[in-house]
Amino acid sequence: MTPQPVSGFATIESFTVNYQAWSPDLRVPYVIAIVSLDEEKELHLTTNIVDTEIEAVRIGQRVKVVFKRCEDVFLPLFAPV
Amino acid sequence: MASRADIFEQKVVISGIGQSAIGRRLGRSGLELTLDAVLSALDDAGLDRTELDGIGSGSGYAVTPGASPVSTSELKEALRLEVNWYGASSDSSQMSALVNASMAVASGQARHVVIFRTVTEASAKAHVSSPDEKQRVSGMTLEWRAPFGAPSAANWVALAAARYFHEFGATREQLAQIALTARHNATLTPNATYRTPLTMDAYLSSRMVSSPLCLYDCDVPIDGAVAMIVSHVDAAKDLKSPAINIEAICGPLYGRDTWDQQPDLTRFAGADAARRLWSRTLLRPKDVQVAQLYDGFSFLALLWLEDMGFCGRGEAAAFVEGGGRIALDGLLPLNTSGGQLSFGRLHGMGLIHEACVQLRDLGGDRQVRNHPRVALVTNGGGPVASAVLLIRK
Repeated sequence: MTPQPVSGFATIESFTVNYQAWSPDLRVPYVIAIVSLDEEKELHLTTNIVDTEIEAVRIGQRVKVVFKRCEDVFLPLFAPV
Repeated sequence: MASRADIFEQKVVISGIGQSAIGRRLGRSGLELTLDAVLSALDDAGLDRTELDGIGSGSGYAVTPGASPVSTSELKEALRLEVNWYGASSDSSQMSALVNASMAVASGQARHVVIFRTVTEASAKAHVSSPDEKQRVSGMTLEWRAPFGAPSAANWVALAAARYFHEFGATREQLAQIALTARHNATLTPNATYRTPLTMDAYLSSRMVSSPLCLYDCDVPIDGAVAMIVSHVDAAKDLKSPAINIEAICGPLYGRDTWDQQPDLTRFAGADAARRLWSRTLLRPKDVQVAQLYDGFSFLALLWLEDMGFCGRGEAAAFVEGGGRIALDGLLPLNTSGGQLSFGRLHGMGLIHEACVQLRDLGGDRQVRNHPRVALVTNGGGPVASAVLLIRK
């Protein structure tokens, strides 16, 4: 089994708007979502939906990955297409 | 169904229950609270501490501040016990302490096992902190959720609730009935933590935590301890209080160890526990007269209702609409002392305690009428799911 690149396209399966500042410097609100990748619908990622108004986020919405670099890690976030 | 000989739990009774003071920041040590609960349970059973030959808990051999501040070792030392059996490991199915103690007793490893759950989460100011970008996390698959500002079970449960609302058309007004019912029952429970009445308006206008869950959908961290004596059924005849028989118990793990990889995102593992539990008894949902269903978050209790078979799939929101069916005088009285939402979070063991109280007709103002004799208790959310059916013969 070797890693295979995927297209980066996905669908929002669920989302929640987080209002709780879990740490003092956390800026809220923001959207947490579970998305399913086009290539494998059973494969879910918990992620954030970015580059959008919170009110516009919908279950079923099509999104595409946007990577955010944190030190040596690239976090997969998703933005509406 | 498995043969009766295989149902080990039918040789087991809960012979005594005890509880410490319960509240927010009591200013007492976990050990003091535990001893209060344990001594109370011993007195309830009519046992002397020297008759205990087993000890178990959901906490480990060492302490975890707040969530498990008292270890089995500390309690054993404090009571100077000599035990034939002890269990000292973190909760697996959240009901592990009861499951393991039952197995010890049924197999003859021990005759009377004390189990306990102690928390000092209010005093410890236990809080979930989101790691900043400099920190790393691992374990419990947290590395797949914490980096996205989702460090809390409130977020993970909210995601399931949001999908459930979407698929089944459930509303906040329906979900509210779990919290409203719990709070009403807590007003009738002298030692519950939150006892001021809660209205639908107050619920709907309260601050959101993670949509669709608001403040009142999340359980309250407290200081407190609950203890039980688990005994062989042969010992029950000699004891002071009516024994509560374990009819069936389980804590399976069939699905993925996950909060977000399950194929059906509207639910967790409750249906797995239901399947296992009902396979170990001839009783059915219709026989249950009082239910204590895990309400770490209100939505979990909603899921438990349909997962355990009290209504059809996706029907729980309609089942609780208006609150009538789950009221104390309803078809299925639910979380009769206020649950974890209003009584306080005791990681599931508090729900077992309340089930025993109801079966013993000791619920006072919150007592379910007509002498309930069959109680269901469930624990868990996410991949964790456990259940026990208790009866008074």
